[in-house]
Amino acid sequence: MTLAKFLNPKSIAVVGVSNNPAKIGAVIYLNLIKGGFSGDVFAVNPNHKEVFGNKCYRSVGSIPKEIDLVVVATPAPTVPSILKDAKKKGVKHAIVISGGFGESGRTDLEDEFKKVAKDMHVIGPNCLGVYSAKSRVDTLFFPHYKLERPAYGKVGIISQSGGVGSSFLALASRTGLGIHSFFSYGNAYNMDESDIIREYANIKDVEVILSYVEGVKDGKKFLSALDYAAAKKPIIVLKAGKEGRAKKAAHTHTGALAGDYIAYKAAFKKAGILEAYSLEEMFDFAKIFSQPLPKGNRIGIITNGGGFGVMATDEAIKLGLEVPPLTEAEKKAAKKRFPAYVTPANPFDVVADADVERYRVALETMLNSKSVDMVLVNVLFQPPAINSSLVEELTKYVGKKPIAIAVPGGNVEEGLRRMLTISGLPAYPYPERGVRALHALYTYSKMKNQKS
Amino acid sequence: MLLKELYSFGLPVAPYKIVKDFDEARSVAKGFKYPVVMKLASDTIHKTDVGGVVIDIYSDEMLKTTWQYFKKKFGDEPVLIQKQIKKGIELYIGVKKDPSFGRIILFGLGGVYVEVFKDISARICPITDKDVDSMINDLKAKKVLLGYRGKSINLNLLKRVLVAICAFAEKNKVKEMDINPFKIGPKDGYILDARVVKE
Repeated sequence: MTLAKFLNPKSIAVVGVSNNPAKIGAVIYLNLIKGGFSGDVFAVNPNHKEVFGNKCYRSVGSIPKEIDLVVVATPAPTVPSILKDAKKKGVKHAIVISGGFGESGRTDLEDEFKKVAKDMHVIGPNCLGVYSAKSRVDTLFFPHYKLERPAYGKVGIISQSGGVGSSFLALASRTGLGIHSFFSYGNAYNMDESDIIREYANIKDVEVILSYVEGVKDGKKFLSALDYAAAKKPIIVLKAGKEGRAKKAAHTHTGALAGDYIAYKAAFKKAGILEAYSLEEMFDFAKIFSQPLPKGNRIGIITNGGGFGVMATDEAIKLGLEVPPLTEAEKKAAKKRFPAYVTPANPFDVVADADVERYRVALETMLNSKSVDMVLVNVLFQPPAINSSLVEELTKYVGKKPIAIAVPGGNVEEGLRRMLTISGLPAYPYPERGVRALHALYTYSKMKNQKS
Repeated sequence: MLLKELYSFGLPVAPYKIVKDFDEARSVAKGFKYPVVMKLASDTIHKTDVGGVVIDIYSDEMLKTTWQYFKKKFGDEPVLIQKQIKKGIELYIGVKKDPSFGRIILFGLGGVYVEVFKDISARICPITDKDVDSMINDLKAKKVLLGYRGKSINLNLLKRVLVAICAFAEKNKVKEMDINPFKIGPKDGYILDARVVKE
């Protein structure tokens, strides 16, 4: 396990720490010593004897203890010799945050970097590095007050872009999606997305993998990593850089039609990967994997606002899901437990004066129905009869069939959505997004069956 | 010639023959029975773009006129006569060698569906029958392939052809290839034209 030393090192040396808290090295050092990381942290900078009241070392080699992981945030020309020094000390794992290599035209430094890193495991350069929600390894050079770190969870995130990656984390903490860990790998001179995906596949606590890619250097390696990981857990990929790469003047139709993206798409299909088309969608899909897989494509819809039931139905049918009617027996049984003006059906409109009990009975009806494989529950929290105790009531039903909750509304509802999501019921601000996520879960279960 | 290579590989190619002169053209056309198609025998030229394909030739007289047109326009370029396949849906099949993923196969409905709507599905080679099922499912035009108003196509044949084209492309080191159209009906299917760029 190469990732273990990145996720759970006993000791970290940060190279390039100064006393200026606005500098990258200092932010990383402070994240580690103040952010809850329980291992030893050493600051390295030949120009300082002390930083933030702690001893500062001249070099990695001069630290009198064993070092598991070195984090480098110094100008690019200094990086190869720092890695060499670390290697001499026996350090095998490093994260290089610094940019200024091949991407800035310094291919000489790129070559030197690759040569030194060859028998090491190095993330970067030109990246944000690693965040582990459990051990609190945190090399993100964004201070906590600017970027809230998400709570611990089951999702592993791999991002080629640092900026997109940090937005992932912000979005995750805002929506209540727990994160196992995060890797931003930048130029990938030594370890790339394929290496990380392959390792994530073997980490039991990572149940869903999210990967943001723009382009991979070794397609065959990528495909084989996806193939390997997809057999073990769901992977959701967001591929950016889709447009405008097809050759304009090609010899054949095929040459003109098939840009890079079509090959990626073919690879995703081959491996059984879910593709998301936006960051928002990627998170919507990631959340739904807290649910069991559906056995078929039939969706039951419950709502206390008729219009939302209509929109959810439209979306479901557009995507190819079925919205089956309830059987006569199911309707009859449910009817007994409702006032005369509530008509059990699918979509099931429990009417605007519905209380928690009505939702409970409607959800039980759907979960027990033999013609329903998954359920969308839309809750408008604005009417007076409904209250937030519904959140707790709904979470009692987690696990039997996949459930997505839609809670449309404003500020009040955002908090409720977060509570639901944290309690294991993925919540969405619009019913269509809940339906799309359920459809993605169904697509995944279909791909999985097809593969095995 | 690519059509011959495809045929030798076991793929269904519409009967054709390269002809030297008008007399041979006439006797070949007679053998196939009218209507026939006359086109340039080339693996690389986009024939329809240069006016190098004439279909619906129904008689000796029309054949003569077309022959003269070809001679005047294309000189000594080799010409072939092909049996005109009337029934079926025209599909486009392509292969491309991607620099990072290797060869991929693409397919969709031909004509406007490919050119305007870009309604195509792709997979990495090699593929299996199961992949073809899910490729069909990717297409917006899947209903046309799976049958509507009593029209249908031989899906097993389609699967066999797509799987074999992947294998052909691998074996022959294809860089880019168009099989366009592959015309397929409820029973038979034929490759009518193909172009290739090899490595």
